Amino acid sequence: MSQTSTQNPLTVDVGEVATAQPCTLVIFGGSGDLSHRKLLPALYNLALDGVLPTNFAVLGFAMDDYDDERYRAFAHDGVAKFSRRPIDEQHWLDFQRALFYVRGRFDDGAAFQGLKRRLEEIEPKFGIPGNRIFYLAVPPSLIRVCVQQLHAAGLVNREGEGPFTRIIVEKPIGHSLASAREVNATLARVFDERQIFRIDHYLGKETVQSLMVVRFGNSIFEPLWNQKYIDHVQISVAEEEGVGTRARYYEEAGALRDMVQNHILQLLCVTAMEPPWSMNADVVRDHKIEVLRCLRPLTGKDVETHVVRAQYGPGYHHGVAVPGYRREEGVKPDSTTETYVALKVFVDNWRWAGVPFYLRTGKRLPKRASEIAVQFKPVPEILFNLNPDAPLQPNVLALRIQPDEGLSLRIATKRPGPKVRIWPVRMDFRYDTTYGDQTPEAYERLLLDVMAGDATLFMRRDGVEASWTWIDTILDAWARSGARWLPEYPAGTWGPLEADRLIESDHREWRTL
Amino acid sequence: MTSANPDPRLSSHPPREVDLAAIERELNQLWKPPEGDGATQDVLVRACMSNLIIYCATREQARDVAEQVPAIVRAHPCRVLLLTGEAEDPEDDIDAYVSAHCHLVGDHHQVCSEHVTINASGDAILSLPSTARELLIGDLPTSLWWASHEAPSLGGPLFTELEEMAAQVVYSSLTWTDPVRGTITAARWAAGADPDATRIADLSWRRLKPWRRLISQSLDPAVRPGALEAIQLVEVEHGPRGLPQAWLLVGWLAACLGWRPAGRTWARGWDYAWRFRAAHGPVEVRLRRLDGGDPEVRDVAVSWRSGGQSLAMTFAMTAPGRLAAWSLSLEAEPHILQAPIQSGALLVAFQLQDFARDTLFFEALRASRTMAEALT
Repeated sequence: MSQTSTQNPLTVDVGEVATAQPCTLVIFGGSGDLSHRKLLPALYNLALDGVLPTNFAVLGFAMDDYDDERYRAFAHDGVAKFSRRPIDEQHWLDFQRALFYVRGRFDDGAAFQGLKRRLEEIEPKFGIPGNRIFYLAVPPSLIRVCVQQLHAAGLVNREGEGPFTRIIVEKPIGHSLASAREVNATLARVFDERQIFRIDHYLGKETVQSLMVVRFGNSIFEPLWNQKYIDHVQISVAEEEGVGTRARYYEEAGALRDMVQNHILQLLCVTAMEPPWSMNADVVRDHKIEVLRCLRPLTGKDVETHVVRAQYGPGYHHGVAVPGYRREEGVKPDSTTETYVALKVFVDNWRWAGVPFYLRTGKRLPKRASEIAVQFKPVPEILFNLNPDAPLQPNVLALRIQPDEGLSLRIATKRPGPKVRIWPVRMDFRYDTTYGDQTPEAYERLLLDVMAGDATLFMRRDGVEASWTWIDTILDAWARSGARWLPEYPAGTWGPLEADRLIESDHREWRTL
Repeated sequence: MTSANPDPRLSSHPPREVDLAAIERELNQLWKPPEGDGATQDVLVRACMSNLIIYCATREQARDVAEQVPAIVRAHPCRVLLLTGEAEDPEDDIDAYVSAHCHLVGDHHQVCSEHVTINASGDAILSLPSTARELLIGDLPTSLWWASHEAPSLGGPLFTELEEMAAQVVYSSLTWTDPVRGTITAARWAAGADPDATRIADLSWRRLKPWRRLISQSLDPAVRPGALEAIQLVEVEHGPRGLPQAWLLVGWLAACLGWRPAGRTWARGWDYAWRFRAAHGPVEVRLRRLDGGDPEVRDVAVSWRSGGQSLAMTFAMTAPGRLAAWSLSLEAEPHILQAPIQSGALLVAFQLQDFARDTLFFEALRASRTMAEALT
C-alpha cells in the first residue's frame, strides 16, 4: 500500500510495521493543544521505538510567537507531561534536533512563502527528498484557507508527480452533509483522494483493530456473526468529563455530531461489515461504507421512538458537586445541545436483518468506558433453561476499547456439587496482562500509516458523506421539533430514564460498564 | 513468600526443590491462595502464552539464563522449562525445582508465570527430553531456546529430540565458541529443515534489525538515487564473537541486492575479505574484529560511485541505544535511529511472539555459509 516510485530492495521485511517514508511533517496549529498532548508525544514515542524514518523533520506552523528553541521547549513540556513513556533526555536531544517552527497566519501568503523557504532549507540538511505531510490541527473553519494557501504557495505536488504531498484532516469534517461536502470539495480541488487522510483516532486504537482480527482471524466467531445467532449489539462510549473548556465548539456540535457521526458509526461499521477480501485500504473502506448505506434511515416519527437525547444536570463527579450543562461556562442557559444520545438502529441487510444495534454516548457519566458488546441469542427453554424465573444469562462477547483494553466472553458453567446449578462466568483477556502495559497510542499508529501512505484506518470522502447523510435526517427531525427543553440526567449517572425505556421496551437492558 | 527484586513491580517465588514426579502438583500448589495475616491482597493471574524450553550445557550458563527468566516472562508470559545437561559431570543425577515469577499489572493484579528448572548430569541427561515432554502445556506453541555456546546443529540427538517438540528454535550465534563451524553447520541444518515444521531464529539476526533499518533508509533510492546499484565496498567492524553476525549483515545486503559470491580476497589491515559480483561490477567486503567491548557489529561503511564521485556513508552505534549514519560528503545532519537497547531477555521474549518464517534470514545465512566455507 506504500507508494514509492522507486523500489528499495533493502526495505523488504525490515520491520513488522509499515515502512514510513522519509518526509517532513508540517503541523498547522503546531503550538496548539492537540500537538502538545497527542502529536508531539506520539512522534517522540515513535522515535524511541526506532520506527520513524531517519530522514525526518517536524515543522510547527502557527501564530504563536515561538522560534525553534521555544518550540522545542513547548514540545519537551508536552512529551514530559503526556508521553506514555517517561522522557529520556539523551534521546530527547536527538529528537529535538529535527523540530522546527515557523510563525505565520494561515491567511497570509507571505507566511506560506516563508514556510516553503524553511522547508527547502531543512530538507537537504536531513536528506529528505521533498516528501511532505501537512497536518491540519486547526479548527474546521480554517481548512479552506490553509488548503488554498498551500496550493497558492506551490507546496502541493499532485499524486505521482515528484515527491509526495499528503494532508491530514482532523474531525469534525463538516457540521452537516452540506458542509462536509464543502470541506471535501475544498480538499479535492487541490489534493487527490489518495493524498487525503481524514483521521478518526478511534480507528487507531488497538482494540478496534483487534475486532477485525477477532472476527476474521478466528473460525469460531464469524459463522455466528449474524441475525441467526446474535440477539443485539450495544456500542457505548461513556465520558466522565463534562464539557470543560470546549463549550464553544460543543454548543454547535452536541453528542450526535461529536461522537456518533464519526467514532460510533465507525465502530458500528467494523462490527457489522462483511469480510473484506483483502486488507487493501480501499477494499476495507468499501466494505465499511456498505454498512452505512444499509443503515435504516431514521426520519420523522422514527426519531422520536428510536433516538433519545438529553443533557446532564447537576450531580457529582468523584464525590464533588458539579454543575449541570446549562450552568457550564460558555453554555447558553437555554441550550438544547444534547450531551447524551442513545439510539436504536438497524442495518438492513441479509446478515443483520432484525438485529437492533443500541448506541449510546454521553458526558458526565459515572466513568470513562467504551465497549462493543455482542449479545448472542438465549438457548432454548429446555434442559438447563427451564425455569422462566431464572433464565440463563445469554453469551456476551464484549470488546473493551478503553480502559482495560481487551475482550471477555460470558459463558454458562456448572457450579461444582451434586446439583446442577448454572453460573455465568467471564473468560477475560486483557491486553496489559498478556502483552504488557505499553500499548501504543492511536496517534502513533495513525501517523506512521500516513508516512507509509496506508489509508486503511482513515475515512474516505464517500464514507464521511454517507455517515452525514444518515445523521442529517436525525438533525433535521430535531430541528423541526423545535424542542426548548431536553430530558436531564444527573451528572454521575448512566443517562436519562428515557434511554432505559428505549432498550427496556424491547425486554433488554443496558450493560453496566 | 516472594524474593526481593530490583524492580518493585516484579517478584519471584524462590525455587523449591521438588520430586520429579510431582512437578505438576507442586506447580498447582503455587496458585493456592496464601493463608494467614501476611496474605497478599493481590489477585494472582496465571498467564501462559506458550511453552519455552531452554537448554544450557553447564550450570553456569543456566545461572545466567535463570537471571533473565523474570524479564522474559514479564514480556511474554509462558511456562519455562530450564534444562541443564552437565556433560562434564559423569555422575548420573537429576533434580528439579519449581518457582514462579510475578509482575504487578495495575494496582492489584499479579500476573505470574511458572518456571521449572531441571538439572541433569551423566546418563540422566538423556532423560531431559522425556521430562520436558511431560511438562509441556498442550495446545500452546513451544519454543526451544538453545542457550548452549555451541550451535544447535552440533547438539546431537539431545537437540534433535528437543527440536521435535518445538515449533521454533531460537539461538544466538554471538555466543558461539567456534563461529566458523557453527555458521557452516547451522546453515546446513537450516537448509535441510522442514520450513513448515520448525521456525529457526538467530537472536544476532534480530539484533541487526535497527542496523538494517538505518542502512535501508539512508541508502533509499528516494534519498540517495542510484547508491544501491553502485556499491563497491562494504567494511564491517565487529566485536569479539561477532563474526557470524557480520556475515549475516553482509549476507543480507548480498541477498537483497543480488550479489553473487566470487571467492575470498585479501585486504591490508583487515582480517578477512571477500569478493562479490553484482550487476554493476565487483563488490568487495572486508571484516575486522575489534578485541574489546560488545561482541556485536560496531560499525559499517558503505562506499559507492556516483557521477564520477566517490561517496561513502558510515553507520555506527554512537551511544547505547543510538545508531547514527553520516557522510562527510553529503548532508550536514547525521541520520539517527533510536535502537532501543534490548536485553537478551527481551530479545528472546519478542522472538517467542514471532513465528513467521523469515525467508531473508535463510538467504543471509546461506551467504554467510559461503563466506565461512571460504575460510576452511
